[in-house]
Amino acid sequence: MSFLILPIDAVRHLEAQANNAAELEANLALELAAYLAANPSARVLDLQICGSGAGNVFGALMSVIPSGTSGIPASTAILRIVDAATPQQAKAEIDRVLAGNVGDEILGYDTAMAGNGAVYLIGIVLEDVG
Amino acid sequence: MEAIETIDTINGAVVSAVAATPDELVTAIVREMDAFRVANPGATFTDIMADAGGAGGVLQCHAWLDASAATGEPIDQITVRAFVGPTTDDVSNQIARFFATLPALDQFIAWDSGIAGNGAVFFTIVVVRPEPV
Repeated sequence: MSFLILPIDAVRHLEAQANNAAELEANLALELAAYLAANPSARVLDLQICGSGAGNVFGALMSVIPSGTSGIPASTAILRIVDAATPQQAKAEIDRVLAGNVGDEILGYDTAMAGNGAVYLIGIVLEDVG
Repeated sequence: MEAIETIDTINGAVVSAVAATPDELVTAIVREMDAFRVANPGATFTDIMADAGGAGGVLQCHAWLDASAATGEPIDQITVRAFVGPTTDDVSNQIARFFATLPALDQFIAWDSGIAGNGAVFFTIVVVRPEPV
């Protein structure tokens, strides 16, 4: 795996906030779709997620560039964010995501937990390679 | 410009652990990784992700493993350590002391960090190879 070397001013961060993982995924997907519409050659570089509050405040950042060779084409990106009551349940959710995307490749991932320590999140960005 | 490479997911797997203290978390995640290695001889470690919650009393992590052994580090040849402290400097100093016990600096493999919900407990997990001397 290589480290990223890019002009900093080329990188943009798409932001989303929601009260659960499903909404967070949907909101970030909307941001990505809007960026992709404006930048048809856009590429996704990475994903970060975080949690706070009593298990009901979640945020996400997706790093993107308008074009280039780093990352994956935004048009092929599969975004999944899951939440669960235990890390094992979150793992099981991600296992289901991986099992449903055999042959695809992982670009980035992150984990977070809510401020109350009782909600676990995992976010993942896959490249749909068919 | 260098490209970011993707990780093959065909044989990818995640194992998870949660605990109240760093030592308990390390014990738990190592147990999960060992179980995966026994079930998948030759399996390798790829990366780790972690976060803290509650009033600093909930630590969690997920290790990315690969059953194919095509990439990554042999699971039975890595060392996991977790550190918590009241400030980032405190945790940083703990990590520095741990790194000082390693026989070579190029044995760092992966790490991640988080902060508890009370904003007063900082948490970092580190994976190196092999055992410190």
